[in-house]
Amino acid sequence: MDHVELEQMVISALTAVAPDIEACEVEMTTDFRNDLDIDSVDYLNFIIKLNELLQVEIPEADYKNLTSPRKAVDYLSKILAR
Amino acid sequence: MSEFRMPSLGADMEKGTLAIWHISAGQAVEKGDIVADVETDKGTIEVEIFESGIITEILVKEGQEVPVGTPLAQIQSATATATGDASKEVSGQEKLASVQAPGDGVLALQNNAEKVCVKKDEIDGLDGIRLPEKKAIVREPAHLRAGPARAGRLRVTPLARKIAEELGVNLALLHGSGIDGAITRADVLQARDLAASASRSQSQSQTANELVQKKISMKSQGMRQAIARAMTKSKKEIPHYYLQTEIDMERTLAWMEQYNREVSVKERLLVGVLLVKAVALAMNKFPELNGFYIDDEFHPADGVHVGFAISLRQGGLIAPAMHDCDKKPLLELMPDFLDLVNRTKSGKLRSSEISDATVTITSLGDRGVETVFGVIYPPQVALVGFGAITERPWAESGMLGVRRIMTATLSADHRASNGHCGGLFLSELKTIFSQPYLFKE
Repeated sequence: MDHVELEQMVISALTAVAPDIEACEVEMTTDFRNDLDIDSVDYLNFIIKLNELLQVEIPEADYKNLTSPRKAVDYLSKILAR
Repeated sequence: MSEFRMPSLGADMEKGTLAIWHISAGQAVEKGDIVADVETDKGTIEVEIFESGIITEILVKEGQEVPVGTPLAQIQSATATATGDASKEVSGQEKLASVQAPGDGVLALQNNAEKVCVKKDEIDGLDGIRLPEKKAIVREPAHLRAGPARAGRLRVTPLARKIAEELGVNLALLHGSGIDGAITRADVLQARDLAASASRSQSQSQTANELVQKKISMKSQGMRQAIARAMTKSKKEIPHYYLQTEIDMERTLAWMEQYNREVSVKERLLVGVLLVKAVALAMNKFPELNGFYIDDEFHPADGVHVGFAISLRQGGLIAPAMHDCDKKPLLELMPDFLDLVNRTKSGKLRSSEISDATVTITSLGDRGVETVFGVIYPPQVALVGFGAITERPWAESGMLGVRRIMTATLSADHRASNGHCGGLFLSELKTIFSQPYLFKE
């Protein structure tokens, strides 16, 4: 899966858990918590959604590495490459 | 035969629109069945029926807006046929609905700027309910508003009467500024100007905004007003006292993190559900904090139904209840918690979730706030606040270390409990968080 596809996956997971967010208003560096007001429940839903879409188990300790679409894509591409 | 009425979904609700009936006349229903969707300031709520029986008649049509307490349907109750109406128990919801109506036997109906009082027995006698018709004047300032029952004949100067007739101004709605309260020409002209400017600003806003935008803003405005009413009532009536303590969360978090490492993503726990469980466990020991203050009297609640304040992304706040949190095991509460938060955010709550909370939690930790002193949601008597969990220097047994610490606060109603009890409650929370095995029981 290339970066563009991963980007789309991340954004669609995000808009699925927070339907009021428009995909077009999310930039790659947008911070989930500070810019989009994603709370802990939204975030868990987001991680669950990524798990469904990509079959990845993201450990709780790694949450800090997925705080924006860019960081999430970087993290996921590393995990999936293993 | 009894009546299924528009429930009071919180102290702040005055009316609701019956959006959809899920049942029809002649149908059998069981206690807890979702029988209708009602639109309120808090979104669309799935309303459950609180007795079993057979629906004999539907009294309110879909799309009709009616005040709290209005009969929506007739039900031939199963208990009534078996034991007779006399022994019928008044359910908690009905009790609340009657208590929350302001004044004895009087319901307040609100229709735009008009606030009209109707005697409850008058409402009961009507098929459905007739809302007061909108008056020509859109919004009247207080000094122009007529008292609902002004005695005697109106005093109006002849010129004022003539002008009023020409302009179509309703004299009964005016308050006179002339001698002995007589309505003068100036009063009539002022009323006309006010009505004109009110209708002008209304038509401007209609063309300026898109309809969708307007609907959203009206909804959040409605919720804002509902919150305003509840919080004003709380601060006017409830003598709050506030307590604060710091809780070492290290052991509980270590336990939770260990658990989360071992289970799949979907089974992971959130701190939020630990807060709910801990408060519920502590409430078992402090019934003075768990219940309702109604009619100058405290009524302890039967179960511990913890309300959890959820901030909505589009603005507004709802604190739906999780039922029997003290009895349900933590691992069962977690999926319920996630489901409840998700349904709250998407506007799919049930009436029991809206009205049953016996105590409320507010947690502002996600946003980094360390301390929150909440406003009690009436008629409840306590609100527990939790701040962000942050690393802080912590001294214990003569040793200094860095621990993850959370500030917990209690806002409680001094009419129902006193500070000593509140202090013991917070201390019990500390104990629970220091012994995470308590969560597993």
